[in-house]
Amino acid sequence: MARDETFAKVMEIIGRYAKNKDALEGATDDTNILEDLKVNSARLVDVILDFEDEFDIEVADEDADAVNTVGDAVTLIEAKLG
Amino acid sequence: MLVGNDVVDLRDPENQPDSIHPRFDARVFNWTERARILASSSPHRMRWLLWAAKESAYKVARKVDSRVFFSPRAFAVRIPGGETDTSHPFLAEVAHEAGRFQVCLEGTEEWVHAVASMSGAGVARANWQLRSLGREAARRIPGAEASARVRRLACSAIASALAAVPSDIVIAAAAKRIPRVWWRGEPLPVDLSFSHHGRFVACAWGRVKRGD
Repeated sequence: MARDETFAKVMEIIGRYAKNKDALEGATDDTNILEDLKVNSARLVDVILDFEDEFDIEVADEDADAVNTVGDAVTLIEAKLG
Repeated sequence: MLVGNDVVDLRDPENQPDSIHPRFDARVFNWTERARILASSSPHRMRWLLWAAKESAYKVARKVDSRVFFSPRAFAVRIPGGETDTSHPFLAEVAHEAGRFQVCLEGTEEWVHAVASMSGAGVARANWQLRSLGREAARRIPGAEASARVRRLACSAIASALAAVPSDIVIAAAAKRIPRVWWRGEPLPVDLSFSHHGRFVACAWGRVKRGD
């Protein structure tokens, strides 16, 4: 899967939970999921579970905790997909 | 004394039982906690009480050891006694490999709030305040403004406790996004924690004494 395609799917998932909808349009790899998009910590659990469902991967809590930005999420998923 | 807190708006649409992921409980709670949720007269409130206990304990654990990461199931919550009346504060214990944490839990039909510290004495010495933004205001206020409001709440509360002027109190995030407090440019021996969710903002703080 191309990185652009992964990025688009990641944004679609995060977009379900982002409180700051305005920040979604201009989101980049550097966009912080908690601080910029205002996804709260409980919803971040749902985001990770949706990643697992969408990409058929397993994400350990330690890996999930290291996901701060959209780019972190894309990189993690790409690594899991090999 | 180190503190952590967490507030959950029980009426927020995003954390209603039909809004959370079907595997949320299995990911976040151990078997004992899940049984407690199922047996509760209010599973929704119990779910978020347990969550708030874990989150608040994690905030303390991260201050103790910056290597700690948030693995919700690894923070095991034990609430003594049976069904809990959350209209009065009660103590729970959260166990993690980083240590044991005492958590004061309280709630209404509208919110639950947790304040954690390393000991029961620490929790007893902690101060906390919770404010409602109001339903309409919460809809209009973006997350950044909610963050600003909880900082203003903390500045006002700490200033009041110190008989200081709120404008002399500055709160800024330090390493690992842990907030620190300054008075007229001097760091204060105060540890604090912020939380906001939905219609509510809350802060907890306590004086750090030698040996804490």
